[in-house]
Amino acid sequence: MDAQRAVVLDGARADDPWTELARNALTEGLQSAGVRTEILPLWELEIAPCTGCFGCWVQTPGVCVIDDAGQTVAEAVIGSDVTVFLTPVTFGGYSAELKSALDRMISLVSPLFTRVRGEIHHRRRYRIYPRLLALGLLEAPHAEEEAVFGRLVERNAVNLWCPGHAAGVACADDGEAALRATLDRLLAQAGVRR
Amino acid sequence: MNRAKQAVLLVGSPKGLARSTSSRRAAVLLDALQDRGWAVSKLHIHAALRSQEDTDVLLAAAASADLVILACPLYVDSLPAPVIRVLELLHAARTRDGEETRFLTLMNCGFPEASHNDTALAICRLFARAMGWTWAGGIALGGTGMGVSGAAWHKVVRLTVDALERGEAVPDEAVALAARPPTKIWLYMLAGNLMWRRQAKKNKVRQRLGACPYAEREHS
Ligand SMILES: Cc1cc2nc3c(=O)[nH]c(=O)nc-3n(C[C@H](O)[C@H](O)[C@H](O)COP(=O)(O)O)c2cc1C
Repeated sequence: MDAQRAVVLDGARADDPWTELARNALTEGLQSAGVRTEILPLWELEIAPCTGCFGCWVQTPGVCVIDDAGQTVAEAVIGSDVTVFLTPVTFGGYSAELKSALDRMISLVSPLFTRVRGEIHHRRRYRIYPRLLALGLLEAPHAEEEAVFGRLVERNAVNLWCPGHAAGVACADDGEAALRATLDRLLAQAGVRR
Repeated sequence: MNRAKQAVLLVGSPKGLARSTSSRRAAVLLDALQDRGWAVSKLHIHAALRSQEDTDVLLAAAASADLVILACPLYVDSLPAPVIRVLELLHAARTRDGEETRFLTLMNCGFPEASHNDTALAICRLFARAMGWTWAGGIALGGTGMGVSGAAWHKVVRLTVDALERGEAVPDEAVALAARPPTKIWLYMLAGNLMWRRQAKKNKVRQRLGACPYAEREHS
């Protein structure tokens, strides 16, 4: 069987020691599980913000009309078995860098509506979508931000038709052992470690 | 003489002040505040971020306002990226910890259920707390506000302004009224699907509406 493919959308721009440690531990975790890993440092890619034009649905269906790295990132996501978000937890959500890439990804679903568990969402465009693994970083534990982060990842997984998802937050104050434990849980939950 | 209270509206839709549905709804609120003697101003986040000078103007306006109103569309279950950038910048530049700035958010989403906006509103509430600002509540519109008539919206605005003047948060009645979905959700879906197909047809891509341009794996 082919090796699994992961793409890491690295939206953690800060180069502080905690972010570095988390990035390295995440990469090691994926690689030691035999996953082919591509890391995209989003802040270097200068992804333009979505203009809300819906051209990716009704002009060039499936491809954003802005010709920049936003297209490449969307392609990498749909080509992956596991898409990984790495981000500082920003008031419970994602960093602007990660969100810029994500806003450009509605091209990956259809504009047409459907019902999912009684709620309206967009239909799938592709047959297969990646699983989603999200690692959020915080300095100190913050129960509410962690809860909102978890909910956001879950909501994204529904909208992006991800067949599985795992979200966790690693806090610098809790140290490296807790980070590694969180990562182990996420890798298992996202089906990376079989 | 008392200084007029200041309200600043930050619009977080790339469509800009005139074309964005969120902006147009929020403008009614801003007008109502002005009628009650508030000094009001409007800024477009996406435009402001294009230059350092305009970004500084926006940050200063928010920092000196009594009430900051954020109006924006829901993008992928959260705030549009440039809005997050502004929240990050405001937080990095915060100086008036504990002072009385109030923060109110108006979210507007495409799916008929206003509850899709819950995560984005939670993010705004946590931002307010991190700033030391007072959370004045969140109003969420579903179905791009199609279930909320002009008259109903004026009532939402009146209830909200009354509460703000009393120093209170957006009342539950206003939140519930704004959250009304379009009456027939099946019709909303049908009309929506028809609209997308029509637009694709106009652009001569009707047959490709469901295209999978990155489908390498689908065929393997
Ligand atoms: C990139 C993008 C992402 C969106 N994500 C969502 C979403 O997650 N849920 C939803 O209900 N609507 C979503 N929408 C729809 C917008 O929220 C909706 O069209 C809104 O009315 C636009 O408001 P505006 O005119 O103020 O820009 C999205 C639209 C775009 C362009």
